[in-house]
Amino acid sequence: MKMSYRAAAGLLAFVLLASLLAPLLAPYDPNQINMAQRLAPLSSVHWLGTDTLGRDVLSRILYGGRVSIVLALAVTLATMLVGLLLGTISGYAGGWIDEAIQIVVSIFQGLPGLALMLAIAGTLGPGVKSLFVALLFTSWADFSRVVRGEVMKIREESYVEGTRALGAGHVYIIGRHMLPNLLGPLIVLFTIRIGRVILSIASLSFLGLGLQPPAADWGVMVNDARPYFRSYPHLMIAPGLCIAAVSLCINWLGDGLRDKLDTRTEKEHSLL
Amino acid sequence: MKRTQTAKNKKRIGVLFSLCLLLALMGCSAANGSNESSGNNGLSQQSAAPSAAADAASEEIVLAAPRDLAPGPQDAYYTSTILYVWEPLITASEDGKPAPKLAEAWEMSADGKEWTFMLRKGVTFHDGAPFNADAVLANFARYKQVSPKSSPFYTLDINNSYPSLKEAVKVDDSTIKLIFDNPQPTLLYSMINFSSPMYSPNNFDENGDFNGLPQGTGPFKLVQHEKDQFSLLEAYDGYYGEKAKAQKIRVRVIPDPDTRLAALKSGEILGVMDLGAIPPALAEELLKDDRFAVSTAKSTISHYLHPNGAKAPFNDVKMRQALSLMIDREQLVKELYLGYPTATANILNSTSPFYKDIPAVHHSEKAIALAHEVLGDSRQAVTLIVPTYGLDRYPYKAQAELLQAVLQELQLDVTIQILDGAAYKEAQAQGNFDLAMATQGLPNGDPYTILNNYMASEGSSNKSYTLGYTNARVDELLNQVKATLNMDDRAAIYNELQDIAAEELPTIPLFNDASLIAYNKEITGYGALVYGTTLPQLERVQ
Amino acid sequence: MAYFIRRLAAAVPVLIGITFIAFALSVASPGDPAVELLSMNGFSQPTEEQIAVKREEMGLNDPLLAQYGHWLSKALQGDLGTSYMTKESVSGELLRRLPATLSLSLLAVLFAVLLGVPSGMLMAIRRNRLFDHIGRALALILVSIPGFWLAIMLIALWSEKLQLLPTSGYGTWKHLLMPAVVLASGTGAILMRLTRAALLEELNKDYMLTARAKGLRESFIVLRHALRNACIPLLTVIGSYFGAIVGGSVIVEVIFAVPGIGRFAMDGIFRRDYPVIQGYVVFTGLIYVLFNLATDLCYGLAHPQIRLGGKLR
Repeated sequence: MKMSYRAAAGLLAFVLLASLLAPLLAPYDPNQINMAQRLAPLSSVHWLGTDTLGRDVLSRILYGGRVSIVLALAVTLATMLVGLLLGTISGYAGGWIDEAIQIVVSIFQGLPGLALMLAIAGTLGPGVKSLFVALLFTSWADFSRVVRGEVMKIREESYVEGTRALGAGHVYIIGRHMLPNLLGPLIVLFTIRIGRVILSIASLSFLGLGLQPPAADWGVMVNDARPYFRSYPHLMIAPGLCIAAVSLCINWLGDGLRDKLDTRTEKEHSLL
Repeated sequence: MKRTQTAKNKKRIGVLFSLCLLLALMGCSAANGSNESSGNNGLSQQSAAPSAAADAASEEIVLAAPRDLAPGPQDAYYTSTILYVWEPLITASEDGKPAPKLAEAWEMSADGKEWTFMLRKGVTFHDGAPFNADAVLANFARYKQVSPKSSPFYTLDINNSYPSLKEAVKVDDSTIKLIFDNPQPTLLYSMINFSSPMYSPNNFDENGDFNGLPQGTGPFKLVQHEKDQFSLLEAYDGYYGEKAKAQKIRVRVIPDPDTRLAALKSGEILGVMDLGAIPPALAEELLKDDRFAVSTAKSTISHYLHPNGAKAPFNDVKMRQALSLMIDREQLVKELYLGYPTATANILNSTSPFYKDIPAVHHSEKAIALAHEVLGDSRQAVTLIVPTYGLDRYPYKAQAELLQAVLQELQLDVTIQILDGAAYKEAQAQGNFDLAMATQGLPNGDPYTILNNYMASEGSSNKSYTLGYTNARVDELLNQVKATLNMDDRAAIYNELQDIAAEELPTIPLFNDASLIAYNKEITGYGALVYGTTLPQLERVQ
Repeated sequence: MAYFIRRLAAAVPVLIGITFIAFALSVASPGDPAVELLSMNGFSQPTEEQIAVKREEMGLNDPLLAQYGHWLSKALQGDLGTSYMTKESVSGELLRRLPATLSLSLLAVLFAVLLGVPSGMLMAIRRNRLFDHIGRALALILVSIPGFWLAIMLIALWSEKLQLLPTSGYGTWKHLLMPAVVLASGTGAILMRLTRAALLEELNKDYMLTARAKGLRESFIVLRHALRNACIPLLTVIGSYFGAIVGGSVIVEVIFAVPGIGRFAMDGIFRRDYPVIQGYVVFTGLIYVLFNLATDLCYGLAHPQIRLGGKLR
């Protein structure tokens, strides 16, 4: 088991490194158009062939990875922080604070994502910035609800009530009991979410509202390959595999991390 | 205590769960039920197709279109003309000239203010009502009542199609006369198709909307319509002309081009129709399978690159010329559109009978020199806006990226912005762009509307697309043409305007699109037309 | 009971908030419904005067709050207005499209739950054994596949190659299968993982160890105690994903040509058809509120003490 985690970490590190070093590694300019070389097959010149404008697919994948991974990480982290903060306050405080926050949460959950994203893309102009804001706006509420549910459950646990009875402060209780217990589900959600975010970026770009061309991340590349997938499957498979591989590694590592943290929380339980 | 509590909870959760299940099943059965009424579905058809070749003639033929070609009773027309349900007084021949349909012949008075139309005799609407002068007048009354009425096809606007119309009068049962305040030498052009649709006089409610399915005179009756799902056409036995060959045609709505391709390949549909029926890249894919064929014709759609002529750098005609010279239209058409469209440098669409052939010139060195003259040694950042609706139908993304790369050599650093339709229009109107990828359909064969909209100083497209174009000579010519009754004289003026447009480039024409459809070789007689297909000739191969 | 009445009352500001923000967003998005209406056919170009007249006629020149108030007062009387573009009644159109969307969503959630919960439970019980590994890998793959990609592949396989299912359309259960699977795949995988994680957590708790020490059969314990405690996050996720499926299946509806609410809403959004957007938002808002109430109800059943809610603090 340990081996597989190491392998996953290794692969992830490799992909990250390759993406970060894209300018050094990429054999071509990712946006260099060459109409004479349209839809070239795999060859020693173009390891992964070329796309519909004759651009080198390998180079585009290397550059695309930077966007995919960095953006997905940033969005997910931001989402999680907002969700965690509001979810914890809401679940822990209860009362009118909870109800007020829940109304806001419900409003954000109830708003159709597409309308929200269009409005944001409209006011901020399409591109990475509006993508970030739109994804944050549409997903923090889900996160906070899960957190709130967990916090409410933990709050009723006997050991928390015990601590409270002993006169412990809120911050202590939240920091000492809530957060460690939240880590398990949060990591699972976090790791799942990263993969979903990469896909969301792709589907927004599908509507033309995500990354603006010629910039491409992997999801966009999969999308662009749609009309060609029957005859030039590599155009879709290559970036698709990258998404799947990174998502798989992140999730696998997340599982490992969760299991590890789980044993720690167990120990704490026994100490109480 | 605790035990019974949990047991009870478990039971309740169980009940809740089975409730959910029940709901889901109900949803499914409801869906099944609605199918009985809609009669048929692609699957049962497709499994029946190979076995029952004998009674093929009576069996319905399924086609698909990207959008619903029958927007419904609130629409100006109920269906697009390409379903052949209704017919106009005047139609267009394939060379773009006015041709008789329900009006067999016509006459213009010497002053151009009176037009007499002789109506076709022996024509009945699908509901049995006779087509005669009274029916025509009822339709004109409706035009007046509902104008302007929006539609995804053409806006029905009597003030636009019949400017200064004073009255429509019945001369006898099969003759009507239109009387105008001003001479209308090009009336026939503006009456083509969507401007003179004829429906049974019993077909309208008090608001001028349809009171049921449309009752036209065409070779097909619309017998059933499920919005956004399908239109079911049936051959009209009482049709006066050559009757439709297929008894029943079902036109399904399949918005996604890949799905349409898959449905063709699986045999679920036998052909596709309407604008963007099959994108060129998918047509190439489909043709690898020799069960299928494509058909093309010219299209009324032209593609342009609209410059923002109200600000630098494209307020300088040299810069626009540099752009036009730099873009290799032949390559663009060949590589991204697989050679179906035709490259052109003419602002006017080639289906117009007044179209002048102006070959596109590609000359990079000249272009680079011109750009250098304007920009000196500095580079200029420009924004290219692309409408999202272009992405589904055309390889607009690749085209934008290609343009971006090409324009680099003109010292232009292009930023691409993809905007949804409404935002795109607003950016155009407010001038928040430098270049815009755009399409324009030719409303009818007479180029006046297009030329006036794009080239007149106060032209509506010129203004709302911020083309910033003015030329006193052009304004004068456009005024002159309005009063010119002789068609040859008009043609001369139109020629001059086309030349001016090609020289001064209020917009940069790229190519004339092609009308492209695909079909399974199990059917025959199915071909693309400038607008629509040869639907009535369509039949199964015996 | 009082608790649920309070929850119901809390739904009112939520619905008002949703519709108001949606309205403000629509108005704030660039674009003008009057222009959209007048240039619907893609080539006639309205003049400024025509636009001005139309705007006045459509009441678009009124202040934002007045427009919203007008809409709200109508909506409270059950009138969602008519579409700017098609002139058809918004509520009628929503109702007409409801069966397609609802049958699809319910089937999708059913698939997701049937896939996610039992296999998640089994994975937790058989932790680190073969079934667990396969299940985890499957979940990861499902969650990493773009929906439209899965849709294309399913169509290519089941319709093009095997010719067993129709590519698209609506009518029989066969039409619903592929779109429901696509919608369910991501959610099902999340449920799988969540069920596993939540159960594992419960299984490691003290009371579980005690129960095990008492010698009860493990599967029995799992069902009785652990699932009860693990169901809070599950219910939350199912609830919120149901909402997302109902409201957000645009891409699936387009690919499979399902005449559902998503497509209607997308057209409305792209054309700045405010009454349609508002009608859609009311609809999704109601679904959310209902599901939140249902979820709360389940919380209450699973953890009776929560019903006391805020009173503890």
